[in-house]
Amino acid sequence: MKARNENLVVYFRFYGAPSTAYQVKMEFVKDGKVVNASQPTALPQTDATGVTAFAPTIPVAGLEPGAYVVRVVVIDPAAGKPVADGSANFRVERERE
Amino acid sequence: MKRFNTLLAAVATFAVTLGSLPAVSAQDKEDEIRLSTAEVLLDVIVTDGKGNPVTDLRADEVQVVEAGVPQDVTSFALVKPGGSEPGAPSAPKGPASIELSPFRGFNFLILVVDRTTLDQFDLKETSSAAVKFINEKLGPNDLMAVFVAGSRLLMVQNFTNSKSKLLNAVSIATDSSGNVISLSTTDRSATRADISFDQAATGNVAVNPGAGGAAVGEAISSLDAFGADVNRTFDNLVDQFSAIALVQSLLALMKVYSRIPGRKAVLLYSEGFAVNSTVQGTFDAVLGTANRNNFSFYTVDAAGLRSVGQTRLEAPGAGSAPAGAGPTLANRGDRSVVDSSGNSAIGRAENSVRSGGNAALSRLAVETGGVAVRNTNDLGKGFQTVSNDLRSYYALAYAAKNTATDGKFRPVEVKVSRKGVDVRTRKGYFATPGGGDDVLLPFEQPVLELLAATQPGSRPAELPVMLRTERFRNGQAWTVPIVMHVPGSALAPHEREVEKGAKTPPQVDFELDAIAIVRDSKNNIVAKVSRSFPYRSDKDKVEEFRQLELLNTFSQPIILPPGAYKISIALYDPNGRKGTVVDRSMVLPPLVAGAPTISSIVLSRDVGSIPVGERERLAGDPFVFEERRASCRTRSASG
Repeated sequence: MKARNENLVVYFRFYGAPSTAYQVKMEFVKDGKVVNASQPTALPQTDATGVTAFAPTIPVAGLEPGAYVVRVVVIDPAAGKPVADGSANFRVERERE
Repeated sequence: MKRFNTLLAAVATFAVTLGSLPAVSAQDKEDEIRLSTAEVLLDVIVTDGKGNPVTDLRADEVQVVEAGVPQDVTSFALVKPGGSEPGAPSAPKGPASIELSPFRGFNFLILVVDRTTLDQFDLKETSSAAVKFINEKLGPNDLMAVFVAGSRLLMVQNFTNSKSKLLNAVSIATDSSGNVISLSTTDRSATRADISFDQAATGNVAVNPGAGGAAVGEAISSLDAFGADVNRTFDNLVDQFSAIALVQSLLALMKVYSRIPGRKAVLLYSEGFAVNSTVQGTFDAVLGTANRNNFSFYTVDAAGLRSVGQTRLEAPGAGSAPAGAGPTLANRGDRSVVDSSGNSAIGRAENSVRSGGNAALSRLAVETGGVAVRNTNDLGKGFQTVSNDLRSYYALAYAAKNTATDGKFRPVEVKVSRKGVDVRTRKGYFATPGGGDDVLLPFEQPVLELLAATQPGSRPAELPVMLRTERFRNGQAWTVPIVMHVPGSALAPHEREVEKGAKTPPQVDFELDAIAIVRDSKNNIVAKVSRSFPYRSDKDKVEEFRQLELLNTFSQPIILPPGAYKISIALYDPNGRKGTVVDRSMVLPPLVAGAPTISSIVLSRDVGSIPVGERERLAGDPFVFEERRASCRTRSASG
């Protein structure tokens, strides 16, 4: 029993202050527990209207089959605190032979 | 040209199911949805035996029958754009949508020059007729817009009563020098609406809008917005379904200008088009949309009685045919007769095609309460007739007793008890859900019927579907894309006929048609979007198609303010005659100006590069970033 060696793209848009560099942190939650989490990384700087888009690719090879929640947290580095967050569900199934 | 997604790659079953959602059979239980009663507006032209308008008809002399069932008339009033004459008794109030409109008091006339069929000679004749009308008949309350229908729709002049601007626009639209007409040809300022108040500009007396001067500013502002919407709407329709460009142009115009209440005239100068089995559905959509939104077509067969040598002939009985007279075809045998010196076979073939085109023009006029002008060299008759009709008509409203919005046709008849008068109105309309969009596209009827025939809790689930709604901030509102995921194996094939001698391999078509209807917390329909997704596969690759996971979105954006909504999404396979309806609840969170906000988190298998040619079309697509698109047509399963 193993997860397939595939990638997952996590895409979102963030609307904040114009021309500002925010950070993002991602967590993978299974059965209510955080099983994997990224360190805060820089989001592309927002444009003049305050919008930026991000689409990191996440390998799911290391994830056990089951239902997951991916949680995205955007952090204002100046204040050092989260300013927005969102989540989505996905499922890793057993690989079919 | 029909767009098909040729899908040839074999795809394995997915191991990762993104954002899995409950199967359609496990829908949330919701309250029964009752559709709001639709008010039907009719514009009625009543004339005496001599063709003069009858202006003293009373409501008690009028009866409306819809599909054999008498209806209750809720308002009936004479509409005379330009206001009542001084000292005239106060007229009865018309439908509220007209009385309260900033457009009240104006005549709206859209001139469409079909450059796909008109030749040099036709263009000159059309120009002469239009110039004569503008110089001699255009009144201060007549707002006219000029469009050219070619491979795409082009606005040459937004609504204006300025004679000089309209004359310039007609000159461009009917240019017969062979120059290509493009946006660069037209004056950019011509895409702005303009209602002039001074005599010098209009060449007429001062404007006297019934709605008052303050409303004129609102009318101009709205017309500017509509004008800017025309091209986008045309592009959306091209995305939504396949048809010939002229028909899509007419639909785009009606879709945009349906927001102007009351009678609107479309004067179409064309040599027509043949309504074959491919065009039939779309043509019906044009008729239904026109009738639902009070457009009347005044079609002018611009070929008149031209012979091949372009010698004009007059025929007995030539002239304009009132719509009530039915679509009697003119005898256009003149071409084949004249063209007898070695070209008679070609002439006959051409004549056959043209007869079909002429019939289409006649039907457009007859079934929308307009007039077909044919069999005459006097192309000015089109303008003359439309001018008379717009100056005096009755606006009648009734609440239809049959409120099902099943997309079916409802025949309507207006009966007048007074003797010796002729009544001209629409033949009926298609019952559409509305939601700011009373356009019924050719593929929509069975999908609407599926929606109307069932209620939440007992919806059909014949197609395996996974749906996901996303949300992206759009100012103080949200853009809500709906992503629909259907396996290729669920769709029934339709084998294409192979033409004799064809070198291409046999092919198989598949089709999925979808409609989404959004209701607010008060059950009002606030949005309706639809799209047809045609697919084509080589016959020997059908098994590969069946393994594909089809991921689709609507091309029109759904933009909603924060709040609670219910979405009903119907998907229908017309080849297999199977459908699924899914009902969902959705809450769009509040938006605070300046406060950080995040979109929904979209999970995708990969992102695809956008071809250079597609980038302009996809501008504004919330899934697009850095010239790539998330959740675009990939192998991803999104649910």
